[in-house]
Formats: sequence, structure tokens, C-alpha cells
Amino acid sequence: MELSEELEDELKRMKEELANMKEMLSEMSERLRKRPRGFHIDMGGKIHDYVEDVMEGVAEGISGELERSVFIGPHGIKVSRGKREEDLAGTDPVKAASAMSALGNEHRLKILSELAYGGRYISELQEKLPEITTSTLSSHLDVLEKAGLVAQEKVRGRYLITIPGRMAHKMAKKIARVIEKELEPE
Amino acid sequence: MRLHHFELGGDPQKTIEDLTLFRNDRCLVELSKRTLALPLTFDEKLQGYVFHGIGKLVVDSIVETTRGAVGRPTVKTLDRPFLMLGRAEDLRESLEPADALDLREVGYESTTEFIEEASEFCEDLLKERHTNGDFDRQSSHLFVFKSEKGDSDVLVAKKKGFVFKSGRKIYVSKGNKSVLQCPGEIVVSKKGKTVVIANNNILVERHAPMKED
Repeated sequence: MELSEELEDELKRMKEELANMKEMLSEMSERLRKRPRGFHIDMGGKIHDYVEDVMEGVAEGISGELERSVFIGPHGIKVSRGKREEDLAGTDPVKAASAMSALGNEHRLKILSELAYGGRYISELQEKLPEITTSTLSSHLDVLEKAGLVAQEKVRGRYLITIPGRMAHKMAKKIARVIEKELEPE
Repeated sequence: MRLHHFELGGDPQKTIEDLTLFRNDRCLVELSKRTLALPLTFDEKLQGYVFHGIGKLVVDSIVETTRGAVGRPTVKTLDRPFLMLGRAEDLRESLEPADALDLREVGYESTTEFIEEASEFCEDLLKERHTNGDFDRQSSHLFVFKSEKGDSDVLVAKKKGFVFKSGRKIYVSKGNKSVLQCPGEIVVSKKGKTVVIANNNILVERHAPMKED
């Protein structure tokens, strides 16, 4: 009789322990469920669903994490994981000369300035830069495109400034400012 | 759905005029007049064509960011056989039977030679490949172009978006969203907001391109 009571007590204790463990497990799974996650890609859907997932997921996953922790200004923020040494000694002088030569024209600099606002059709560039004739404008755009400073959308026809184009344009303006300052009479 | 039950054949046809197979604001596939076309069927239904002649592929695989445009447009002359699946019925009115002269123009001595070349192209292309069962042949186009090196460029296109894979470059565009993945770089753009991952850097931009100082 005593043994049976002992067994019953033991069984009761074990049941209580099991109930506690179940409760803990349920809490843990709830916490895991609520945890913010990156993104989820369901490969089982149609291709446009997959594209949608990639777009939403990558953009929200990455920028969301950064936005939570830091303020992002109008020009964005840059996160660098290490400095890379620039090997200017290995720069191809022919390529450098080609890029500099593309910059060495007042009209081309004006075109780059205009494109820095965003993509433009040739008609829009003509409107903004009436001092440049249509044929000259086309030939300047051709030079800029060959130098990799401008890219043209071949279907829509818009011209866009490239990353090297924006850098080169910025650099040209900086050089001009420095020289201007140097030449200022004291 | 596995694509190894395709059937190629019937009488070779040709385009009766310059033809646009697909066009949206970032992508274009065109054929010139007298391009050869060989019908391709699955389950006894017309599903696509193998074309050979002269054509043009243009994809504006460029993403605009505030740092400048990333990527370059793709412009290719299509002078080798290529495959198109989807919306094949729409082309019936633009095709007519090709004769021996049309075949010779593209470099074939006989119909058999053209069918053999097209079969070889399809077998080589499809023997190891699968297509998603969800591929919607009523409103989507699937193009496969082969380069001289034997690489395949693939374009899956719908009116408002497309996926283009060429070598190690993948470009996805839908409305005002685009993703460009090329070696060492991924650019995601959505409504003027871009995320650039390149050279161990992550750049998040929140606004459309603007004039610098």
C-alpha cells in the first residue's frame, strides 16, 4: 500500500516536471518565433515570386538591420570591412590617359554635370545644353561612353553616368578648385 | 516538367518581315526578315521555335545608383540558332514556308541539314536541364542563346519583368525593382533605394540619384 502511494507520488512529481518542461519549451519556441529574421526564399513558387522574394528579402534584410542600428543619411552609409591598398603603380597609363582625355573638354564636363542629376535622354541633354550642337553632343557622348564614364541604355536610349564617371567628374572639379586657389593673387 | 519529350520538325518556315519577338522598356529580341524557324512541340502542341538567321538581343542590364550606374548593356547579334519557348501561336501569322533559297541563305543545303542542326542544338541544350513546371507559356517567353564558346545565355521575359543570365552575370528586373549580380558585386535597387555589396563593402542608399556638390 505504502509502495503504491510512493509510486503515485513519484508519478505526480514526474507529471509536474513534464508539464514544466513543456511550458519552458513552448516559451522558447515562442521566443524563437518572434525573433527578427533576415529573409526567406521559397523556391517552390513561380519565378516572379522568387524574384519578389529576392528583392524584398535582400533589401529589407540588409538595410533593415543597418537602419535599426545606425542613421543613414541622404547619401547612404558605407560599411568597410578592411582597407585595401590602392596600387597606383600598376595603373595602365593608356587607360588613365584615355579617361583624362575624355575629361579634358569643357562640353564633356558639362554633360557629366548634367548626368550627375540622373539619367537623361539625348533630347533632354540638348534642352539643358543648347550651346552644344546635336552632332557634337553625340560625338562627346560617344567619347564618354568609350572611356567608361557614361553608359547608354540601348532600349530606352537614356544616358547614365557610371561610378567611374561620377568619380572622375568629382576629381576634375577638385583639381580645378585647387588650381584656382593656387593661382589666386595673394 | 522535363523537356526531353520535345519534338522538332515539320516544314521549315521563315519570317516574312522584320519581327520583334519580345520587347519591354529594358529588353528587346528582334529577328530580321527571312530568318528560318523550326517548330518545336511538346505533347503535340506548338510550344516554341528554333530560329536561325540574323537577329538582335538587347538587354539594359544596368542599375542606377547614387554613386553612378552599375553594369553595362548587353547587345548581341543573333547569328547562331537559338530557342524560344512560349507564346509561339502569336507568330503563326508572321511565318511562311521556307524554300531551298532561304535555307541556302543561312548556310543549309537541305531541310534535313537544318533539322539536324536544330536537333543537335536542342539535345545539347535540354539533355541535362529542367524547366520549372510553373513556367507560364501563355504570357512568358523563354529564350536560350548559345555563344561560340558553348555558353548559354538565358532570358525569361514577361511584359513587366525579366531575368537574364549571361556567363556569370545575372540581371533581374521587374517594374522599378532590379537586381544585378556579377562577379564580386551585387546591386539591389527598389524605388530609388539601392543596396550595393561589393569588394567587402556594403553601401545602402535611400534616395534617387541627386546632384553632387
